[in-house]
Amino acid sequence: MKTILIIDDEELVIKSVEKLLTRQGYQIIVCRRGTDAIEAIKKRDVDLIICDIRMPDLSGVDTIKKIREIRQQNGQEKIPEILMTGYADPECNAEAEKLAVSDYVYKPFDLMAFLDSVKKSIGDAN
Amino acid sequence: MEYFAHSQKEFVYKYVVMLSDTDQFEHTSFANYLKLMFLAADALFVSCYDARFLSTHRLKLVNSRLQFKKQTVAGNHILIKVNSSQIDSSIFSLLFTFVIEGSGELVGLGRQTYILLNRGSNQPEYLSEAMKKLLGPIRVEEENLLYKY
Repeated sequence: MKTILIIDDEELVIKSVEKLLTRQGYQIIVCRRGTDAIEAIKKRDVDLIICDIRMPDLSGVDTIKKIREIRQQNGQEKIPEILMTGYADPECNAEAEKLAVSDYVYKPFDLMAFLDSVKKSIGDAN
Repeated sequence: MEYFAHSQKEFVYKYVVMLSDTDQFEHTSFANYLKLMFLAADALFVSCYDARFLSTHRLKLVNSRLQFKKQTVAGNHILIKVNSSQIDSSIFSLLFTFVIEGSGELVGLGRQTYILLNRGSNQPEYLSEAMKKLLGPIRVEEENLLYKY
């Protein structure tokens, strides 16, 4: 069973995305802060990271950068990432583009289109 | 990895919270969010509100619902993202997602259903082509949405 790490502080998003992906047979780990996600990723491997850009302690971009750094130090492969945001300014878009994540979606989004993106990123697309 | 960004199409109305919109605790009064739904809907349809249309038609609000998630204060820039759903011959629904510009924090979710009526007979009228042109591109499948409105 593939595991997906969701990093977001918004309960409604966590609930909807978790429900959608659990129904599709994925195992879900939820972290509400970037720092918690960094600790979680040290303890176990995941197949995909879905991360909100704007979070209270560490931003999504910084969280992804830190996770990549840790994995690189440990000689582990890069994990596919999907970034989400409720408001994207040009600076934010440029940062996300520089990161070259698998996908970048604006909230609110269509869950079916999002699921396609998840499957494509995780390698489950037909 | 291939980079691509996408979003669903939406009409966006921006509002800056003024001191007069706030209560004694300096939070935006609840009634203002209802006002914002009407302002955003009016802004969406302003291009098809000509004198002839307004003299013969009226939009009647059938139901209105608001889920409130986060307080806002004077100076906050609120973005109201508007989508349409359940478009029928004379009825349609508008879905409102309120977020704070900058932080992207979710403020609230609103939903309104309207019916287009003939001003004289009070009978339902078919939506005009101009209205359909505005509603069509921002239409979403409500059951597939991230939020429940």
